[in-house]
Amino acid sequence: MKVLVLSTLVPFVHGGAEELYDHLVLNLRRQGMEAEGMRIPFYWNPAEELIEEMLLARNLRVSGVDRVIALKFPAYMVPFPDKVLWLLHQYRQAYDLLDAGQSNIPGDASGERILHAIRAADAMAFRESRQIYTNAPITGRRLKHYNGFDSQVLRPPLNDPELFPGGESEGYILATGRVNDTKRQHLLVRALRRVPGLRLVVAGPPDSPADAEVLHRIAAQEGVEDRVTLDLRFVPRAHLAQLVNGALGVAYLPFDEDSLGYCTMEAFRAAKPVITTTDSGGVLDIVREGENGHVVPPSPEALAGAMARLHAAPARARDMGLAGRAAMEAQRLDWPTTIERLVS
Amino acid sequence: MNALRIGWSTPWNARSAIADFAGEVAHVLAARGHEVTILRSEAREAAALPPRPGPFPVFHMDELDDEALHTRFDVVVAHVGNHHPFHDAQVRRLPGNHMVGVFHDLFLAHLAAEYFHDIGDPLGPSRLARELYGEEGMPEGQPFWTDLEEMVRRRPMLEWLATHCIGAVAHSSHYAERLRACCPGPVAVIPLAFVAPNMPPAPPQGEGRLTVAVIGHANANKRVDQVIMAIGSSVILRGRCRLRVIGQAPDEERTRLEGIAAALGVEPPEFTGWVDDDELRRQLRDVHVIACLRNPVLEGASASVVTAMASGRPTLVTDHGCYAEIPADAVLPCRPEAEALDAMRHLERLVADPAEIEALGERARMVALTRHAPTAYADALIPFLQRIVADRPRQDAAERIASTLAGFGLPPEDPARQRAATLLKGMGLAPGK
Amino acid sequence: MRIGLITAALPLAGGAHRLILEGLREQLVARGHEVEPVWLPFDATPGEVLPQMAAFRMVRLDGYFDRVITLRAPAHAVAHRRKVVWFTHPLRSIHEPEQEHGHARALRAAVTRADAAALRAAHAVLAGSEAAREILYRDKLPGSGVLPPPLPHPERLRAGPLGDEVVVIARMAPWNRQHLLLEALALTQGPLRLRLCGTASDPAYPQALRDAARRLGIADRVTIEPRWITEEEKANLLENALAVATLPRHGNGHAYPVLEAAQAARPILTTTDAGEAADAVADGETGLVTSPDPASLAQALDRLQADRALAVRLGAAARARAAQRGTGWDAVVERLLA
Repeated sequence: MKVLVLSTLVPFVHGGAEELYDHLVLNLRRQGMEAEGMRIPFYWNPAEELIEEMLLARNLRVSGVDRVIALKFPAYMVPFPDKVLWLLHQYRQAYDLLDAGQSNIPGDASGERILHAIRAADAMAFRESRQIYTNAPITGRRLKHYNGFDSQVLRPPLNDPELFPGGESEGYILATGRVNDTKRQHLLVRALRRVPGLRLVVAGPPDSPADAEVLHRIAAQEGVEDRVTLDLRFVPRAHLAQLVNGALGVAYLPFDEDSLGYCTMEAFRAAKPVITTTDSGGVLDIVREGENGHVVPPSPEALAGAMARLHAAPARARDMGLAGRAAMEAQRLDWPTTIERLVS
Repeated sequence: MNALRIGWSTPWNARSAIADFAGEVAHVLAARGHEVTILRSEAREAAALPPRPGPFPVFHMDELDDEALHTRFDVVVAHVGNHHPFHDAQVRRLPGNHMVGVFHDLFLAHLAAEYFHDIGDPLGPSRLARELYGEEGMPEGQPFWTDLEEMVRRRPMLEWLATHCIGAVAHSSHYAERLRACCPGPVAVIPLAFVAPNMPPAPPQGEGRLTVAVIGHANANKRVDQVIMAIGSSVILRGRCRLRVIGQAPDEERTRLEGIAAALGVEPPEFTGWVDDDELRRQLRDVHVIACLRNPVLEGASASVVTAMASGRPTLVTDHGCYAEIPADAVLPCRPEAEALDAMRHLERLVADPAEIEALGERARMVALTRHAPTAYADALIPFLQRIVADRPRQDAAERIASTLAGFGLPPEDPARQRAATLLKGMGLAPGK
Repeated sequence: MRIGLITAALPLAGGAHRLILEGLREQLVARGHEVEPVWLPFDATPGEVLPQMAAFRMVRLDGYFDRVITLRAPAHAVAHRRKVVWFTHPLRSIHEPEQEHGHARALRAAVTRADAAALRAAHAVLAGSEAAREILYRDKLPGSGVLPPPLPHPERLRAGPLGDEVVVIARMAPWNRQHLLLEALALTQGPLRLRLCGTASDPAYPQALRDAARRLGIADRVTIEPRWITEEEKANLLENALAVATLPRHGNGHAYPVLEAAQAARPILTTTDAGEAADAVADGETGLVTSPDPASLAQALDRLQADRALAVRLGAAARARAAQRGTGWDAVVERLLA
């Protein structure tokens, strides 16, 4: 089967969405498909120009393939008779972010017509797709609420599961991923004082120097500099995997995130329990208190309690980690299954 | 030479005057190197009429789907007339198929009425008329049909089909303006091509007597009463000028005309009744002048006047509609509000100057042969079609973009539509209408 | 500099332009630039070309790049304040349509107008070949000079001793005239072999070639491989080839086979009507240029296999001439960034 993956391009930016795109193409080929990906440059300011962005997408033409898998607005508007959407996200500034007052679309008559145009174009794209998948339940709920379309959840799997076989705990709690205010690694640093003997490793790129500075300052204030390792940079994949494989448990507590999070999946793949918070969003779709990790209120005290429990009972931690891995496997969060669904 | 593949949509049977015309012009197009394919437009029984003979491939229009019309021809030309049985397929296929409409009749109300009756939508005509002409053209609560003059003025229904064409041809200027106002593409005015049947030559002048004939089915539209009044109001013409009505005259009309003659104290006209072609020729042998007055004008152009002129006889016409565009020195023009008076003056002049009869007759004959020759028509039509074919890619692209934006809910006057038009212009694709 | 390399491509179709883009990207990155390739999907169906060109024009690149270089029609339709068009070939479907009629002519005129507008807005237009430059000239499109794309990886091609196999690596299609070489081979004797490789869009043609080989009684001397040949495979095939044959009817705008053969010091066999290939080969000096008929081709093939010294001489001269011309990446990058 010949497959084209379509997405958008913001030149010189390479993040999670781009990784997913690359791995989708790679895994399509691994599963025996002839696959290629193409990404259309996308520029969303000023909002008026969104009309041109959608107009151009509607007038591109794809041929020479059997199926198109489209990932993002407005690339998913490119017409094709056999099109599957794997919605990572819509143009949220026309929907939930608009409601939250965080949109670049003006609130005047001109903005009204832009919104109307986006909704009309979205409806066309959704209607002409043979199947819509979303990366997380919340994305699907938004799609239903704002656009009235049904979808199925298809979570992006781990790109390199073979790097996370797990291993013996070396007794530290690990926090990976981007470091910033929303990811709230600072809560963990604050919590550490309450759990004597436990070590914390934070390894991941800070969004800005200020984000790194905050963690250093709190570690000093809390007097836990000797028990905290702050490796704040783009950690090479192999090293990151090593850190995960040797952790006691992984803490991932973003504020209201859509998806499970790669950090969560890496942890469970390596059979490590996950500590998260009640307001973390999509993480809670898989992490269950007491079964494969701990779900606590987002306070240093509550987090300290969770960390202490793992620290005090490492065997239990190991069991919960294995339960986490089983939960991932039960959901078949792997690339071959994902590809199978996308090309069926 | 840029040969064109032309889809030639027309009735194609022995009874259709438009078919005669279409055949003549098609021969010239083929002689000029273009590929002509006949696409019959008749409905049902009429579609079963035997096809005219000719070297062209013949299909019924409905044998080709929209895709085929687009790929097999560079341009499809639809010869549209008012007679539904002959033009049904065009009504159905014009929308969305980017055809060039040649409007033989400016009045298409009969076509509309019969089409909607055919599809079981009796309110269709008035609904459509209101869409096209507003409250003023089709007042609420009134029936669709009223007297012809009103109809022509208020709701001729020409716009109904012209808006769907990518180009239009009118056979005279007087309705070209209407076409320009509603047709999205260019409009050309080409005098009707007509090969007049051979008529006997004009008789020699004799004894200052004049025989005037009106040809065809006698009805009020043909203004026979005006001719009678012209003769009856003139001391010179009374007694020297006689009128012959060649063709069927309904009793009512005949009675009316005889009454007018009697009131004026002149001989009543001669009524031949219905005649076949041979009898028509015989009846014309001693005719000096032909009266071709029409009021109101329903057709785009008149084959009758071309026949009259081709016979080499001075022809009286009402000076409006398509008749106003005939070179004035080749006919005897009469003001629409004073047909009788002007006709009288023309006839008096001819009685006084017999040489003028011959000269005028000859000028008329030349105009009929040249202005209305199929070669003249084809030579005017071809560059028009070439222009439309050349513009088609631009138009298709513009339509594609516009329809995407319309799908977003953005109307034609929206800034985004303007920007798109500017963008296409910047690509060297500006409209050249 | 932030540079965008913009191309228009039919998904999953191979093609020389992919190699050129990759090669160019590497070269620019090596020189310290930030480079992002932009692949725009493109369907060359004539009736679809103009709306897609309009779509390309709407892609907003000014905010992302300091300069864009466009490769392959109609990528040049994009808008950018510093656009360099590397014009290798106009759209075949428009300029060489299957059927010539009024609508096809109108499309060609309209697309040419759109091309002209796009090229006039460019900072520079460089023709990828003489043939491309002629088209620019003929259609009154702006263009300043010829810049042929160099081989992406010349170092991978090796020169070994000459063997017995004449190699053809080209799309397997009637206009590349592989069938003519079969007929020529049938008129020769000896250990001479023919290898025909390249993707076939229509499987009927390779089948016809196999049938012809059987019919001509040379099936045992011919290898027919209708598939994409990787760069590594190509290097292996050329290393010991007796010669490389390339005879595309009307030429195809790249003359890569000639460059590759020269790099591997193989004599080149081509015909007088093969466009750039014929232009690029000096008959009797860097290869053999014959009339496009089986007998003439057979004569040339016999010459090569009978006179090995000649073949070696031609191959060496081809390589020396190519090196002399200096069509390396340095010159290319300099022109593109000027």
